[in-house]
Amino acid sequence: MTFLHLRPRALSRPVLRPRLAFLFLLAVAALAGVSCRGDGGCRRGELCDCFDGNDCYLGCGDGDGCDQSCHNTVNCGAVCGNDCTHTCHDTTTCTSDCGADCKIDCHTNNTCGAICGARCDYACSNVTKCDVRVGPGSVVACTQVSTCIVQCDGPCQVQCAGVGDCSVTCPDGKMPVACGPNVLACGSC
Amino acid sequence: MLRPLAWLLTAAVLAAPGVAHAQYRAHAFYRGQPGYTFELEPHLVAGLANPPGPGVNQGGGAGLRGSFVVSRDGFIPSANDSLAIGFGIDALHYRGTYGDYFGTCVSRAPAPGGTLVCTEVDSPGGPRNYIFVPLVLQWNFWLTERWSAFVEPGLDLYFTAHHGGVVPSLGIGGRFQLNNVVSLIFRLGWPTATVGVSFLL
Repeated sequence: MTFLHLRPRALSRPVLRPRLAFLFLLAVAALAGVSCRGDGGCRRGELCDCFDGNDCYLGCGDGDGCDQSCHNTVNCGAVCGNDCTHTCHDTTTCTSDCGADCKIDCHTNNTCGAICGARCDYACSNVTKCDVRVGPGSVVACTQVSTCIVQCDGPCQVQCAGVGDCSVTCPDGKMPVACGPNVLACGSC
Repeated sequence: MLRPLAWLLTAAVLAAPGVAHAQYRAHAFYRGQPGYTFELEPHLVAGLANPPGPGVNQGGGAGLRGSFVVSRDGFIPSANDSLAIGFGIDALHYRGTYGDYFGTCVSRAPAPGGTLVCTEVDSPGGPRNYIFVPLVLQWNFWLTERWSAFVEPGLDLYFTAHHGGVVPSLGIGGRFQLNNVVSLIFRLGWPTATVGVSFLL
């Protein structure tokens, strides 16, 4: 077996004085900092409930599949991947950002906002303003809402019951079609 | 990422039995210290305790350290000690924990009616990736022909999503020389602990 063999080198005096190293040590001590830490994050399949206080922002530590709940705060926001649920009530502003196959219930708030992916099931009730963008195959229900604004990025259905102003925007500038009492759709009914 | 390091460790361990004692001694020049000016050290890294910043729990990864000898004599005249300045980079993933759900909204996007929707939450305890850049003083003690120990006070710059800073660090470690170039090296400390191979060049 062959080993790496270095040519011997003569070592004489130290490269630098130890005093320099000692000064480095002092500098380290002088620059000692403080760090902060905390615990947090929602886990897949377990209810993650956030309430009271001013702001309540929830992420999903596992990415997908979180069950997020938020209530009795001023601002609430939940961010999740696919296959998530979010319930939100008694806040001033509650928003949801979710991927595909999400189920969101936003009720008894001042403003509800959402950006949701495909097959989103979004319910908004007893709210002043519902402001939602959803993906293809989604269903949105606005009930007892002053203003319901929905932008569909594909085929969708929007139910507006007891809504002052119900606005539905479909892809490519197409007009929504009426599918019965209080129901509008992008694409076919 | 970890596979080359594992191969390196295996190769170094396999090489150990064939090292000739005389060959090893031929490179001990200054008070029994090996004749090197730079130490290169690829290693595996573990974060055994909470890191600085928002991360929590334990983490693991890999990194690289380089140390320049600055003095063949250390702080203690009667001891066979030496000093080096070390620097490097370590990448770790901390698995995080759960429990306290509050986070901070760090990114927003408008809904069609202008409502700003939070699209990114920075949760303090969630899983996180860290980059550490250590800068340390390595105080070596050459104990025997093959064993040496060191203490490493220093600073660690850390970078993680939306956070960063500098914290003091401390490590205590040792190395076992397989031959005049290759050693196994380990260190325990905060924020990181390491085990790897050292090349005394």
